[in-house]
Formats: sequence, C-alpha cells, structure tokens
Amino acid sequence: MAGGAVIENLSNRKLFVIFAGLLVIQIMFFLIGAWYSPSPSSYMEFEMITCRDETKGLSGKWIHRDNCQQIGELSEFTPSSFDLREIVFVAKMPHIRDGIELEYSPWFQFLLGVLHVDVEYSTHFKYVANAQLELEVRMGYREKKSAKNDWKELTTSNVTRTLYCSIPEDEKKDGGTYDCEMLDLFELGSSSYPFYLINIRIPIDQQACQYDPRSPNCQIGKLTGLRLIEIHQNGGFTLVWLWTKTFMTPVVAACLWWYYNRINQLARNPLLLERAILYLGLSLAILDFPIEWISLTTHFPILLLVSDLRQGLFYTVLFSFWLIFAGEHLIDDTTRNNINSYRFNLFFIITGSSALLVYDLVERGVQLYDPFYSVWSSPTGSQIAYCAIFISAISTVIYFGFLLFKIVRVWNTIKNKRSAQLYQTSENRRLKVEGVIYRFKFLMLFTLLCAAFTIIAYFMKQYGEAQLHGDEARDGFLTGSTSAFFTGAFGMCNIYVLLLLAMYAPSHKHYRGATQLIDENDDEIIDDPSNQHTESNAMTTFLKPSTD
Amino acid sequence: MIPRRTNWIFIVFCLHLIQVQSLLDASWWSTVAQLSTALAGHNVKPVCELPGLSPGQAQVCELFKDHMPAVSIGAQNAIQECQRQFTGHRWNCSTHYSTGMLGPIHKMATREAAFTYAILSAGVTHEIGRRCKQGLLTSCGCSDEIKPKNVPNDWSWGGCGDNVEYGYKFSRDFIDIREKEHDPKRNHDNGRSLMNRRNNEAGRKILKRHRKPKCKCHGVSGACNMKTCWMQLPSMEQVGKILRNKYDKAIRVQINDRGNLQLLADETSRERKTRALPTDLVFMDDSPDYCRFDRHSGTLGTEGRVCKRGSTGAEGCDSLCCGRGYNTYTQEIKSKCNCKFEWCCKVVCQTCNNVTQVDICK
Repeated sequence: MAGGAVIENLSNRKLFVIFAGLLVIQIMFFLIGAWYSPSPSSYMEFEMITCRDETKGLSGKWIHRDNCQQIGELSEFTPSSFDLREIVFVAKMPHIRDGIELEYSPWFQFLLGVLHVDVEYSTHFKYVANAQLELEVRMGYREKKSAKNDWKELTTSNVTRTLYCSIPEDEKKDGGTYDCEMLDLFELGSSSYPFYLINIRIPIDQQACQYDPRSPNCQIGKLTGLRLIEIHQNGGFTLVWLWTKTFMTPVVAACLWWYYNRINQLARNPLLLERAILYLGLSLAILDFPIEWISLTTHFPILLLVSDLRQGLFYTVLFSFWLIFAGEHLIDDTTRNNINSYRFNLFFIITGSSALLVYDLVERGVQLYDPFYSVWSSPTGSQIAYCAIFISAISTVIYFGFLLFKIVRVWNTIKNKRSAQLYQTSENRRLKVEGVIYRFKFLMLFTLLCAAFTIIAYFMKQYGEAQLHGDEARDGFLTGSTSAFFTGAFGMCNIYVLLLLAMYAPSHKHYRGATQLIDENDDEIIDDPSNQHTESNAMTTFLKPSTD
Repeated sequence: MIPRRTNWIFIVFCLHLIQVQSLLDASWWSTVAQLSTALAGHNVKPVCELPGLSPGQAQVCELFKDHMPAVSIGAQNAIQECQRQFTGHRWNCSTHYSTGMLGPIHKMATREAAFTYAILSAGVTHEIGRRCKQGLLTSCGCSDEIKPKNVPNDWSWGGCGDNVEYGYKFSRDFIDIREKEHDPKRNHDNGRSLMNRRNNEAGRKILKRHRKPKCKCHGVSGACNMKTCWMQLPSMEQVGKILRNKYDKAIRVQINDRGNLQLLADETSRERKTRALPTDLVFMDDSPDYCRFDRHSGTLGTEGRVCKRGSTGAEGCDSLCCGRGYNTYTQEIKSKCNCKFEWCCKVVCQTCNNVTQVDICK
C-alpha cells in the first residue's frame, strides 16, 4: 500500500475540526493585534529651532535649547560671514510632553528621521529644480544618568540630498510656499539611548556658487525652516509582537521536529515536495525566532538588517515552494521530483530576491556605520537601487505569471482525471476520490485565501489612510487596527505553514509498510486498468486509496 | 501692510485705555495680539490683567503663561493674513492708527466680523501647534492610546499623536470661554456670542480639515508593508484663502425664540439653505458700506486710502473712495533692483528711483 499524506487519511470530521480550530486561532491572532496592541509605529514632529553660533561649529560645542541664541526670523538675520555656518538648526528628541521629559526606549526597535524643507518663493533667491542640498549633520546622544546637557557624539556626517520642490503657478509670488518632497535623513537600527540631539548646518561656499551654480546649497531657494519627523515602532506593538513570536517559536519547532521524524522514518527517500515543506518550515522557524529580545538589553543595531534578511529568506522559500507544489501536482509531467526541472522558474525567484538582497545590504548595511547614508542620495546609488527594484519587480511578475499558468494546468488535469475516472467506478470509490480531490483543492483554496487576505489587508490599509483626511482620523476603525493586520498576517503565515507540515507529512497509518519507490508505485498504477497515466506522489496517493 | 505691523509693537497701550474702553468688547483681540510685547518688555503690569481679557481668559492666561506669546503671534499672523486677503477692499482688516488697536473692530455681527473671528482662532490654533513641534511648550499632550494598566509610560506604549488636537483644544478653551461667560460689565448678547463661537469653531475646523497626510514607507527594503503617516498643517495663507471663499458664501442667521441660531432664507438665491456646515461662516447683520469713519459702527472709512485709477475692481478709485473723488500725488519710490543672489539671508541690491503717481481717496 502506498504511503499517503496525512490529509488523505483524515476523516472529514477531523479535518473540519482542525480547520475550525485554526480559524479560531487565526481570529485570535487578529484580535490580539486589534485589542492589545497600539498602532505599529508612530511619529513625532520637530520644528527645528534656529540658533546662532559665533564659533561656526569649530569649537565642537553642542548647540541645544539652553545655550541657543535663537534667531526669530531667518530672513531678517544678518550673519557675520557668508558661509552661514553660524546658523544651526537644532532639534532635541524627543519632546517634553505634559511636563514630563520623554525618553526613547529600546522597545522602539528603530528610529527613522525624515526631513521636510520649507522653501518660500522669492524672486531674489530662486529655487532651481533638483537643487543639491548639503547638510552638515551632527547627532549626539545622552544617557539617562548624565548631566542635563552632557551630549556625546553619535555620528557626524555630510549629507547630500536632492531637493524636489514644486509650486503652483498662481502661488508664484513672494510669500508663496513650495511643496517639497521629504528627504530621508537617518535610520538607526536600534534605539539604545533615551535622548538625541541633532545639529544641522547648511554651509554655503560663495566662490563655488559663482564658479558653478549647480554646487550644493546654491540653488535651494529661500529656506525658511526645517522640520524633522522621527518615526519609531511603538513599544506596545513590540511587546505584543515579541510575545506572539516567542509563543509561536516552540510550536513551529515542535511541529518541524515531528515532521522531520516522519519523513526520516520513511523507507524511501523523501520526495521533493516533502523536502520543500521541510525547508519552508525551517525558514518559518528562523523567521519566528524572537531574536529581538537581545536588542532590549544590548546595543544591537544590526537587527533591522537581520529581520529584513529573515523575511527575505522566508518569502524566497515560500515562492519556491508554491512553484514546486504546483509542479509536483502536474500528473502528466514525467520530469517531476527533481529540483533541476524547476531551475528555469527558480532562477527568477533567485534573481528577484538577490537583487533585493543587494539593495538591502547596501542600504541597511552601510547605515550600520553611517545612519545618514542613503543609496538614493547619489545618482549612481539611486540607479543601482532602481535597477535592483526593477529587476526584482520584473522577476516577480514573471514568476507569478508562470505560477498562475501552472496552477491552471493542475486544475485542468484534476478536472480531466475526475471526469475520466469517476463514472467508471463504484459509488464507494467515487466518493472517496471526490473527497481526496476536494481536500487537495481545499488546500489550494486556502493558499488563494491567504493571498486574498494579504491583498485585502493591503487595500484596507489604503482605505484607512484615506480616512486620515477625515476630521476624526483617530477614531477610524481601520487606522487604529493596522496592528491587527500585522499580527493577523503573521498568524496566517504560521498557520499556513503548520497546516502544510501537518497535512503533508507522510501518514502514520501507512508509512510503516511503505517500501516502494516511485517507479514501483508507477508500475503498480499501470497495472490498474482504470489508470492509463503514470502517476505518482500527491496525485497518486490521492487516487491510491480508491484501489483499496 | 507690512511696515504697519512694526509700528504696532511700539504703541503703548496705556495711553488709549480710556478712549478705547467703549470699543474693548469687540476688540479684545487687539489685547491678545499685544500680549507678546507685554511679555517681552519690562512691563510692570501683570500680563494677564490686560484690559480686554475676560475673567475666565485671565485665569487661563495665568495657568498657561508660556502659551501667551504663541497666542499673540498667532493672532498677529492671522491679522496679517486677513489684511493680505482684503487688500484693496473698503474693509481691509485694519484699524485706525490712533486707537492703537491691532485687530479690526467689529461692533456689528457682519460677515467681516465672522471672518475675523474665524481667522483669529485658526491663527492661534496654528501657532500653538507649531510651538508644540518646536518643543517650546511643555504641556502639549501625548496620545490617549489605550494601554494596559501596569504599563507606566503611555508614550513608550503608544507614542505621541498629532498636536493640532492640543492647539485646537487650547484655542477653544481660551478663546471661546469669553463667549460663555456672563460678564456683568458687558451687556450680554446671546446671539452674538453664539455667532462668535460658531465662527471660531469654523476657523479651527477649517485648519484641521485641510491638513494633508504625508506618509513614509519603511518596511523591508523600504517596501510599504509598514507605513507611518502624519498630518501637515496648511499654511496660514491657505487658511486665509479658504476662509475668503467662505466669507463670500457666508450664511445669514438669526436668533430664534429658543435662543438658537436659525438659518435665514437668502434673498438673492431662490433655493433655501436648510443646513449650514460646521465650517461655514455665519453672520447676522448687513455690512455697512465702510465708506466713512463711524465710531458707532466701528468702521474707519476709506479716507486716505490708496486706490487704483481706472480699475473696475474693489481697489478702483470709484469704488474705494465711495464717489468722494481722489487726489493725485507724485511719489518717488526707492526700490531695490538688480539684486544679486546670495543664499538665504543676503541679497545685494542696487537702489532705483521710480517716480509714480499715487491716487488717494478724499
């Protein structure tokens, strides 16, 4: 007797109970996010105050609120020299609120800084499209115990960004404001210090400007102010997220161990599909592992990169698995159970994910050393970045096209099989075959459902953002529950893989006696007069019980 | 308009206390706009006892002293924007120089009064929100995100939200409070109070409604699976523009027997409006023609205003001078020309002399 997968040997009742249970768990995941967790991230906006520093930053002194000689109106300020290093834009993060000095906590996981440049229309200081903006940024930090203004250097950097601004024609008069695109300023992979201080200078080299107007800061127009927006993950979300991961890891590990034992106890070598599921489970276990706990106690800036890599790995394996899953159910294809036969399609997955890997390593990798680095800031860098994203986008599209094609083929094959066979056989057998195919389809549908859920979640998020326009943005159901989508999607991922591990494990009921290889299996089927095609693996095993 | 603003600052308001008393009720804004001067200068007088503030406002002022410069700057910005919106109109949002008042005076419940109240409350909200972002105010609030009881710090749990909300609440508490008080010294006009409150609210609502969301994606490889959005306040200029439209479409109301505001049918348009939006401006009285100085109705008149000869618009001499005619003077204007660009704070210019003719209303 052929070794069937668990799914074929489960009664409908058991299957129903399992699905119902999983649905309840899925809903629980969703509700955990919706009820217990705040929104995944929040922001704090800083309007940078402008201060005067006679030393032009040469003294290495930090400029902060307490020693700031504030400049009221930038345009009314007369600097003593023309390089304008005298003007310092200052922001201390975070703010004081409700009379309490707020602190950043390691629970925030990451800190992102985005810069808004306010440019006013002026006939004298013309903004020229795509002007280069060069900032001298100094970022300092302060420990909780140190004195009030004892700032230590975190990083100093010269940042060059391109300023993209636009203005409607009718606003083109003095006092009109440009609408400028925000600039990425910094990205910290961990939030290890409670306070940060940012000093920004916008130096101008008059000679260079005369020599070449395209030099940095010569064409940025009448700058009226800088606004900094800092984004971090919410501590509450981190907590909920970490606990879900911590809870899921042992479950996945146990399931994986069980599955591994099952296929190891087989007398035959594991099939390609079985191995693919094993790797999928393994990558899920890696994804789930709550490595983030470390960042709560130690300085661990590499975390952002690591979690990107883990997610990338999981998606690469998942996409490969789908391909193999579909391919292995193509009954008429004889080249199955061999990874080599998939190399053409796998190539696209590998290309796509390695392009993204390169992008990620460059962007986040360099940011480990210089938080102010951005691939997008230099023309070559942004070309590479565009290239990487373009390649991976193209690969993904081709991949999905191919996957769809395969799924349709599998679907058709199954339909043909069924119509060809069912009516020739006894009622009892017909019911059984129907049931098996039904279950197979059910799993396929589950995959589709998962995909649909992801897409719906995406659109709901978009809708939630559309609600931001409304007056009472905070009260919106959808804006408040994006965390629910995160935990929901996470739960779905886990349930999906766990279900695969459980359902596609070789069945306990049959595997002990199973010694046959695929070829023998095929022979056996050919012996069966009702079978004209060579079949094996999933489809074989589906149809197999019908010969009992 | 701009040079006048600098003049205001030097005006000492003790001088005109007596003369102004009669106008105070309608122009307490001017007091507010002067708060910053009072705070900055070495004024012996306690800030919050400025004439014009109602008892409730004085109390709020005492509690939130650090907010007062913001209130004042906000009011000044609003008046400046108001004057920009109404340049060349008979009513141009300005006051008589000798009164020392900063803002316009409205004794009647006109469209202009509606506009002024709305833009002033929007200006204060705007400035409070801005100062919160500068970290100059310590009491701006954090989010009221629901959090488990055992978590000590709600900021690290759910972050801090938008501070427009804070500016909105503060502005409502500080500005609207005077409309709710029954001050025995003032003759209480319920209809006017309701109208003012409504227009104040409209100004704030417009500011809030016209925020624009800006978003940043920060998921894996910058993908949009994680996205954070924040709201960007419109500039006072944009608010002014929107309010100007609302001014043109302002709705006439009256007070009914139950003491509520009731819409009145518009004579000009056939269709009867049944409902006013919360962002609509409302008024009760017809506007005077603003042609002559009239202490009773609080209008300044257009005497001495510069008009444009031959123009058919509001700034044309025929309209602006109300048919009284105009005098023409020759004026030499020195202006900057051939300017050379030197980044944000420096322009090197030559001075050019232009001789032009100026028409001034009789």
